[in-house]
Amino acid sequence: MKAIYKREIKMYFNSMIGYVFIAFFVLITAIYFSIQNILQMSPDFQNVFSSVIMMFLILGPMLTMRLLSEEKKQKTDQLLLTSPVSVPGIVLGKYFAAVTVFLISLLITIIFPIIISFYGTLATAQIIGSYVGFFLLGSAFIAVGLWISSIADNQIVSAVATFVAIFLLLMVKTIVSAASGNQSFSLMFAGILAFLVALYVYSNTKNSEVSIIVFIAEAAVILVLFFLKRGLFIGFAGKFAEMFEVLTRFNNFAMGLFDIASVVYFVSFISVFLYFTIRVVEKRRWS
Amino acid sequence: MIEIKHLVKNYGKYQAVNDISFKVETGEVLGFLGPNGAGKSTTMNIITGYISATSGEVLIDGFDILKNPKEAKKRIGYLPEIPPVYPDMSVDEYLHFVAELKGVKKAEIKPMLADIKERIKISHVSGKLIKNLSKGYRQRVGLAQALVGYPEVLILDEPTVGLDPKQIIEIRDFIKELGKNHTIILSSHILSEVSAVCDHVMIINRGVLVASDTPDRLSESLSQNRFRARIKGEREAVVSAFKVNENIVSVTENETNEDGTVDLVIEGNKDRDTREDIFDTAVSNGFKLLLLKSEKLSLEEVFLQVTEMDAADMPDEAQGEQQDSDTPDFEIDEDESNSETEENTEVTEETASDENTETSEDETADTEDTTDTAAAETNADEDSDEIKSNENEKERE
Repeated sequence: MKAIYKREIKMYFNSMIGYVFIAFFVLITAIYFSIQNILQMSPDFQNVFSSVIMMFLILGPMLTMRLLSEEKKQKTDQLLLTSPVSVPGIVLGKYFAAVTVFLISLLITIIFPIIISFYGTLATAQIIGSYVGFFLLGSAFIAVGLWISSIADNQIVSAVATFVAIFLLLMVKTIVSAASGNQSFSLMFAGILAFLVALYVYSNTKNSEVSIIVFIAEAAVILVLFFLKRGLFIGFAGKFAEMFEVLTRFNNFAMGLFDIASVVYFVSFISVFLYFTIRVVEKRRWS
Repeated sequence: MIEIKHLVKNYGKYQAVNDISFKVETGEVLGFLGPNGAGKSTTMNIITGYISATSGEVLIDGFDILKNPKEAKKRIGYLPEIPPVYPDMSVDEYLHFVAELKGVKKAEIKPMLADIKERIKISHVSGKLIKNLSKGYRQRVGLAQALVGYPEVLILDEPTVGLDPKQIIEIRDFIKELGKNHTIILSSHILSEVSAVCDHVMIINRGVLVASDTPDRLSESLSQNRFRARIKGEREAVVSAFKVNENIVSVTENETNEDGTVDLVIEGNKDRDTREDIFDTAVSNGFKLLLLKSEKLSLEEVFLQVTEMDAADMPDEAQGEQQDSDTPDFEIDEDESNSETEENTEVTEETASDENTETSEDETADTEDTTDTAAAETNADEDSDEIKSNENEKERE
């Protein structure tokens, strides 16, 4: 794991990606810092973080797109997987390398609150909370990106898919709250979920009959439930989407609340996606 | 030591490796032979733990590759078909990374890498980025990578691909030397390489082990009762005299440099000493026997014979994909020999008559036309093969 971590860090800074990432991150933060803090003479640095979250759309894919997809393409995964290193070791090494680059750029931005502290009073709790929350949020996005990179066959697909995934994660609340009260929306949503499960079954078994049967069975259960226990469907989509509301969790931190539940939430979110990644890499051996 | 027990690998309905078992001792070099898509690389990938077998067991020095992967993989150096190098790293960086990956102790890394680079002769490119290296050098870096950590078992998938002739010889000698105290499996298309380097040859076709023995014994066992005889006398008379003898199965004519003589490759009944038959026939017809020696099959011929025998054994199995991939290989060879007919008779007659001995048993004694008929026959055989495989495909559809 250590060898892989070291190599990835080296690769980030041998190529442009590491520098571009840090420069881009610090530049955007600096622009918001200038506008919101210096020009408006406000000491509320924590607001800057809420403003710069959107840049994950570009920075996330940049950090993770090549991590695993490139190994497959160059056939270097043959070296990694035949070395005395476990698959979790490989995945974690890569994950921590990406998180490290993110952490470095985050630490550089500490300059801004320090500057503020010379000229005004800092909302220390909110700022520390924001840093912790922002770090956890970014780490969660990196875990998602790593997982997508393990599925995708090349960097471009990996980057685009990661962009879409992060976009959905950021927008999930907006989308769902608009329609979650609606029962037919929930029904449709359940249908989509059932379809995805059937698709997953097909991708694992390559057996179209089994997956069609699975889908029909799921659809039947959903319809029966819909007519017998309509109540279940009220807010179903909303409840489901809550699992992915990373932004709400982040806002807790930004308000200066050190919420253990949110920490646990992020850690489990990251663990689940890392586990998925390990499974994808391991599964490749069996197919 | 490597021990493989009943290895099976299925891709859906398609069977890539079908029940292969073998054992390689320390100090032994095993050669894998087989046409494209025969399952060589798949087998190697399974042995090294890159992919998993559907069923079967792989033991490296007694460690199971699935149950105890760390211990087993520590003992393996693997050079895959495509060398697993990172183009954006320099050779030194790369090898250093591999050493760390394989858990080599920090103090040992430097001398070990220097030694390996010296042996593979890549010291002068240490600082270069791998993407700027030629294919041959990349191959060498790949080989160096396999040697990092001095593993006891080496699995080399076509190690000499892309190297120049001088390098090929150097690497072969190097592998031979390594073979003295390592366990090595190497695969190759180049049959001379296998016979030069390996103590033991395994021919795989369509995932099935079709032959396994030392290179010498392999060619011996398949060429029993085949002799080359040089006989002084009128060509037609000689050939027809031998054809008449019922103890002789086949007679093939070869080109000879001596005037007034005929060179024949004669195959006799298995239960008799054919040398006596040849002698008797010559004497009773008043011919003079100038030369008589046993005719060994070259590894090429063994390879063709074994893989073709296999094809004849199971024409109807769902092997369509394989057939597609290996028929063209042989076709190309034969096309080449056909086109050469006009320019260089001597060479072609030899290759063509070799084809004859494999494909047919009743030859026409017509001397002038041997090459043409031979070519025509092989063509006809190919055609029928192709038709067969086409039919198979249709059936499957």
